[in-house]
Amino acid sequence: MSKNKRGESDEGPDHIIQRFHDPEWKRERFLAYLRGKFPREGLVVIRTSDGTFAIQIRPIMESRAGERVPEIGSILMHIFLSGQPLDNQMGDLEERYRDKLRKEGPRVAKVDFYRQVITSIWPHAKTFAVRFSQSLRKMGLLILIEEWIRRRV
Amino acid sequence: LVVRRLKMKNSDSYLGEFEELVLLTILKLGRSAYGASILKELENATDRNISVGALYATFDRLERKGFVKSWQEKGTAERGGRTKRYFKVEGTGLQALAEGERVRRRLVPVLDATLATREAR
Repeated sequence: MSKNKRGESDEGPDHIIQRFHDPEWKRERFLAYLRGKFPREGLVVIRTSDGTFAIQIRPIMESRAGERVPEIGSILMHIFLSGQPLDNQMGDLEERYRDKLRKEGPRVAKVDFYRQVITSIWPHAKTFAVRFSQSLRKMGLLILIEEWIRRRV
Repeated sequence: LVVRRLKMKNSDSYLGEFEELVLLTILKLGRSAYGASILKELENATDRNISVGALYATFDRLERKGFVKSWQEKGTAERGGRTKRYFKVEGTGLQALAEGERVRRRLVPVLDATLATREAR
């Protein structure tokens, strides 16, 4: 575990890095120092069970603007998947998208993301289409449409 | 219906090629085996494009067969805070892998013999 010159430990994201009884102005000054040190992380002041304060570094859960996954792909995933499977798969796709974005550029990342989305939702879309056509057939609508087309042609 | 049920019963212990690859990758990754890392490792090892959807369908099938165990862990900023599904190979999964390997070892000499005959020609 590394220690800085103030003697605090900085263990990285999601860890309590400072526990102190200092007055508020000192805490604020220290927070400003940390914000400079960890510009991409979220800093949270929490009150611990023993009455002292602690600062926690948490990863920012919001995606950074330039690295946000393509919206249409994300919407498609939300249409065909839900709950935990959606959360797991979208998380993996986001991670993969950012990795590709850094290593191979935005174009490759985008193409790969859409390819993944389409191959992921394809079985669900197929099932949906089959069920939809079956229900239409049950209602007799297809037969009516067929009859109508036959008369026209 | 009886034939279908028998087929299903057989398929419960049967390990497909892709399922075997997924199990081996989970074994290789150990404690860091979750969706994205498994996908990356599999693509590197097999040199082919694998879809996340197909991979998750395989995970579900393997879990239904009792070959793997999965659990959720909180996400990181890298994945927009979304949860990670981690995997671990169970004892039955290891047995199935070992059985597959045993069958292969029994049959590989046939391939070796065939190749040797062809080369001799």
